[in-house]
Amino acid sequence: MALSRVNAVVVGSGAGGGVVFSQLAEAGLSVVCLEKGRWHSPFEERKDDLVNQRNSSLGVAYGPDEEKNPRVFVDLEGRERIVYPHQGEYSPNASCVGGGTFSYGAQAWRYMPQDFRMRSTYGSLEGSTLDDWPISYDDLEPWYEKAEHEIGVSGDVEPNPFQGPRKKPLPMPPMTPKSIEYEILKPAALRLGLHPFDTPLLINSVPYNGRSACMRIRWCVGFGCETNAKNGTQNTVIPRALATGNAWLRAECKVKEILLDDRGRARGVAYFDERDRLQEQPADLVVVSGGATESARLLLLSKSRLNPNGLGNRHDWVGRNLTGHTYTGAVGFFDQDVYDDVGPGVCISVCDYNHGTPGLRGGGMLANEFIRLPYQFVGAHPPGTPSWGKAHKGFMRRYYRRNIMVQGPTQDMPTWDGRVTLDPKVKDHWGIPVLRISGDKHDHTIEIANRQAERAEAWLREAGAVLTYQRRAGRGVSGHQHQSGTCRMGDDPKTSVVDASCRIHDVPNVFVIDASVHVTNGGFNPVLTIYANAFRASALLVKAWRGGGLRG
Amino acid sequence: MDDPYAVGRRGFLKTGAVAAAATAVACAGPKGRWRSLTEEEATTLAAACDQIVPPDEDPGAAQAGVVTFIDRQLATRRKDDRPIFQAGVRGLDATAHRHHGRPFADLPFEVQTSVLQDVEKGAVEAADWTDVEPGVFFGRLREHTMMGFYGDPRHGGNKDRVSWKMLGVPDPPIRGRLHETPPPPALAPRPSPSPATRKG
Repeated sequence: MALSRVNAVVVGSGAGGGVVFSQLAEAGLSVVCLEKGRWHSPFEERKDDLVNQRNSSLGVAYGPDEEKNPRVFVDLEGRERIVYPHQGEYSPNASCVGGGTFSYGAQAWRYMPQDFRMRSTYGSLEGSTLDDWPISYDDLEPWYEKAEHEIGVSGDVEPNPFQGPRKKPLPMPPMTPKSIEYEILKPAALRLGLHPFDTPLLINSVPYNGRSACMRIRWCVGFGCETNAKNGTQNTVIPRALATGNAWLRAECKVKEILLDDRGRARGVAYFDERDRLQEQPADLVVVSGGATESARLLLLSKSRLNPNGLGNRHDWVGRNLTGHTYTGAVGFFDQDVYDDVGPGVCISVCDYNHGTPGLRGGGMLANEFIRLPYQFVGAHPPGTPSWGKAHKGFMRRYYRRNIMVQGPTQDMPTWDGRVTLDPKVKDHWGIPVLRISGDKHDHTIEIANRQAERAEAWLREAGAVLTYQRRAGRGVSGHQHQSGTCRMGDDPKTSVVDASCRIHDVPNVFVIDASVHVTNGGFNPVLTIYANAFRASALLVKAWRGGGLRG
Repeated sequence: MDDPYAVGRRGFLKTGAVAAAATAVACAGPKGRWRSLTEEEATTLAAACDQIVPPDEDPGAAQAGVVTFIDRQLATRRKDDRPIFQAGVRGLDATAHRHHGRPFADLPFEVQTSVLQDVEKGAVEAADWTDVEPGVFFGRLREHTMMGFYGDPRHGGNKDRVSWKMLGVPDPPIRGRLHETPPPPALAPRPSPSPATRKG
């Protein structure tokens, strides 16, 4: 039986969906947000170092549900196997109210102007679908500002000469006092002629928006924040949406497909509710914000006579160009303790290497690492040294408090074959075909990422590390928590899925608003760009709604 | 249903027959103090784990409860690893017998080390390892031992937070609140037949 009709359904409550939910609700539309995962309270947060989104050796803490959501992974030899959310090959992202933003590390980066014009800046690249965005940094700048203020960002980016122009400073100062890592790495970067600065974070350094300041523990990334000082959609825009009275969030609801009418327009969605009952939610428009893997899956699942290969997939672009980031860096070991357990961990960064290296198409930001969970440090010993036994235990004892890790996300060169599709055989708990992930990184991505590792090592050496080694790039498709690119935004319907307003080219009332639409993914953590683009696309959507063009 | 916080080893020893009955009903695994392991497997594993993290001026893996950790994981979150451990322990003992005439746990520490190095490299008699690749077993053994030794004590290992003390991790960990909370509801002890068995 169909539920009563609403103006809009938003699928997903993460960085994209949470923002859209609030913006449509505040504009007066009746909105239902369907979230696959559960509500979690920050006040129940229990730091379990083996069960979280950072290290999921014994499972993920914030979804997706392990048993209900398998996927199929195809390795470089073409062998396929079923994988589950605690495994890296799954390309997991958290699944709960707030999506990844409940447990993320919360770095708040604006992409640089060049990041929106990669093809114009560097030319085309054989074997890559490298291209420009249909929008520029200047188009997004006001929305970056809105995201920084309405979600809440602390830091000091003024010393970063490489950032695009900004009109307002960040709303919160950087964290003080500084950690030992900061005091060691900053002068070392200056000696190298670099331009270090306080990493922007979506974490309160002072009380902000009615919530408290960070208490400076280091267990941020991969965990919820028990003092609620970390800003995600679950404690900013979602409460605002619910406060309007014309917005409803339904958790533990798994959307099955977008329902289409004879004219090829969406008339709502079908979903399984928290008791696995099939429901129909009619709506005037549908916004897909499930993250780059699940958004593509939902479009591919939504077939009709006019869209036999899935929504927006007339030219076979849905699910392609899956990019995350290739993380590389270095570990440095010191003769003295450099560990003070002062959070949030990442605090000092440089953007000197994002662009401008001859022969390289871009690069990435470098920063110190968030946290070393003791179990994760087990694998941090230098290559070629014992990985077990007395010597390894001695390594752990000597160096756990005497190491610094510097790393960063290298901007991936997108590829046609790095992709998600629907698996022809395997079904999930609800009987819906699961995702099949396949592909590899572009060789040039690996070349850039390894250069970044060399740079990280040089920084640590200058900082006084007596022993260093590089963590270099491995092969295999890119994805994971920074997943993006699968529903590319563009002006040409033949080479993209959505237009510059994030509307599917050939479907007037379905939008994709999350990192799926990123043409390229910057050399930065992507979340602030997802927030900013969601504010921008929501404003365009509201304008179109008020113009009457979206009503069936 | 498997449940890592059901009456375990300590609870069993303390509460006797009633708990034993409850445990036997709860998990139809091998009888005794283990949920997944036999007594013989546990003995071999204790020696193997102590090779991965040996005792020195700080406790080793066995003393830190790593076997309890593995026993629990093989019954719950890492069920899929159970056949790997069963076959691997058989292979380890068969290899020890073939070259030294005794089970693995009865060999001197240094001899155990060299046997395990051979297992890691795959330099073993194939006939002793028909059900699992030696390298696969070694990888899981190392992974589980490290998790059990360095991970959160709530999972059965890292008894008295020995590894965290050794590393100098702030102890107790600095947390905003509720740092000593009970397990989440899904993992809470199931109702017991009598109040005396509630000390799981």
